[in-house]
Amino acid sequence: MVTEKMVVTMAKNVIPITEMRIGEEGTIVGIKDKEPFPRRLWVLGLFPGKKIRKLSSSLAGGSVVLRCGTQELALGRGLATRIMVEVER
Amino acid sequence: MKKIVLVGNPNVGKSVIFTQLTGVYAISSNYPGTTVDFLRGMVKKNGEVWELIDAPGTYALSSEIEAERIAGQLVDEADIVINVVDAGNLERNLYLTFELRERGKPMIIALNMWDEAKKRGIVIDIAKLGALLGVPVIPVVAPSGEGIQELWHNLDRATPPYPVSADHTNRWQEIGNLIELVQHLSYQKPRFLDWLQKFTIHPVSGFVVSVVVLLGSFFTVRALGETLVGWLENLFHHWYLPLIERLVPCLRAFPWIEQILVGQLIEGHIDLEQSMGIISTGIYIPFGVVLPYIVAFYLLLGLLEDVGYLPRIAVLLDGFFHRIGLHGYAIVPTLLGLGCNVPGIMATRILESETERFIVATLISIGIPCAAQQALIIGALGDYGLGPVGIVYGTLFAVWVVWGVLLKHLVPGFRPALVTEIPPYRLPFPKAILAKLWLRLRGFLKEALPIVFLGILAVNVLHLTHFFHWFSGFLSPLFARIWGIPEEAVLFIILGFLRKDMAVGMLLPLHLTVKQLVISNVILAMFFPCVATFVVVLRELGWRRLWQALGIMVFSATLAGWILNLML
Repeated sequence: MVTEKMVVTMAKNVIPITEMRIGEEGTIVGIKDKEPFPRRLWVLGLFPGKKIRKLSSSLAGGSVVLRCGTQELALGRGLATRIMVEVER
Repeated sequence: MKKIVLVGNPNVGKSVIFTQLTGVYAISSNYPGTTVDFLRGMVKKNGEVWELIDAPGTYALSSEIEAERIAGQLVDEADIVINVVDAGNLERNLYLTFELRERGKPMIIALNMWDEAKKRGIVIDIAKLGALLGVPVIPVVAPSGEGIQELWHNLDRATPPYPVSADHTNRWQEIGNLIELVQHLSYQKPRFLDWLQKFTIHPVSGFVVSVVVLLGSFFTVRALGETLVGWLENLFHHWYLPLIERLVPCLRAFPWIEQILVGQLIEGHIDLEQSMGIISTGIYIPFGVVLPYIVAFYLLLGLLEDVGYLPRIAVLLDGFFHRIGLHGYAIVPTLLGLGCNVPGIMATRILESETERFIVATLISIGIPCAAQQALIIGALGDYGLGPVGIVYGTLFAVWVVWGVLLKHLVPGFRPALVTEIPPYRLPFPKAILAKLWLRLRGFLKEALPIVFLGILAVNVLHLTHFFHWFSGFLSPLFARIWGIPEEAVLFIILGFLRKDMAVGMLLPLHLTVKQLVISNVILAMFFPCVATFVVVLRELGWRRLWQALGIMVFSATLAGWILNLML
């Protein structure tokens, strides 16, 4: 149950996907540095406003695995550091 | 002739539906002027012969990406479009469906993997989906054949879908609205496959699994390949060899033709491995030695592909490959290269940019010894224990990594980040795997065989004109100094361009020390690709890239030989 008090203390944070915790949910807000949002992500259903959940993150600078709707997607680390998500913490 | 085109995302079972409709015998075609392949087959419908085309798997139909553009062109040429949609992933699949709506071709939707979606708690209102899109929607389970008949009978009902605005900005919103109306998700207890999915993508357990799978595949291919080689060897020695030996007396009068067709006689007989004629070695090497390993490799690769393991290994290894300027999918050609460099380099086609293809092809030809080479390295050094063999493999791996890192910084160019879906695990469908194996084998024979013939022809001509002996006699003293090996050994290493395994064989009677054998083997593996690899790099990447790759190989083989000579 989310009480009113909790809502007040939970700030909205915008962080890159790489900084999400495993299992955490967030909403994509966009890409860093005013770059155009990558079309390759768009056609896969990753777009600003979409809810995602981070499933895992490989060791040694590897890729990040996300759940997005009914599918699982992997993003290379470099790209994942540039995609910003809004999480509640 | 009417054209039916199957269009859908990758991993939605399009090829299985294609195989179910056409049978195993399909033709792989290359779209003119591109490296994009698609499948064609003939089917009978209403007493006419129709052409069925399996377009490349694609998420959208843009004009920027080659495979997508070609899928779009195939759609424009089609009379009927079958849009294959994964029921377990309806939302993402509908993006392509909406793009197809823009094209306005008569269309029918095959809602595939219907059973799997149900098990995952995904319920789709099929009648409503069809009514909202304006086309028939047929649920199918491609591997079991369920729904295939219905799909086939309903082809005549294909109609142009309801049009959709060509403005893409609200596309996902539109799709979301549709999904709200037709799809309901209910919670299902995680199945074994879900657990397996998590286990194999986990950074630690997934890594362990990938090592086990890779080693397992490697040994399976080895064992399967050796078994097949054994069978074929019998066939060649008992049937083929006596046949061509009868030809020799007939050719006596024409020594040049004999040299080119049959090659040199060894102790008065044809030696299938060493005679180097087009009908002796030229037939034996591709069919008797290379083909068995290719069969084994492609069989296993097809299995790993269809089960859905490859994307996972690419994801797990992405971090490592990233350091050498590549992404995880570079593992596929690299693995293939361990069997034979030729299909490995051809498989670089799955990589997106030319830069990546060049880097992977160069790394394969320099640091990945093929099955034949590995057998010889172990043959020459195995008696001296694991140490010397380890030094050879270790040096090759080090060179592979060092050049990977160097090329990452030296070669400018676009390197797209890894973006891939991770499809759920699926039970493989044997008929589809066999169909794929058959297609790949035919492709290999069609592409590699002429190269081997041309290579052997060129070798024989160079041999007859004594070009190689002149050339290596000129270079031998210098390299003998640098590498600390006898001049004859240098001559044989340079001759290794013709046939590497032959060169190792010629080194044996020289009674080299272990150190000299290690150095010679490393140099032979790195120095220059074999004729077939040489030609395949040329064909896939062009002269400029070939010279760059050769420069890298000759330079680093020289350097590695020199360093080993100083260090050991």
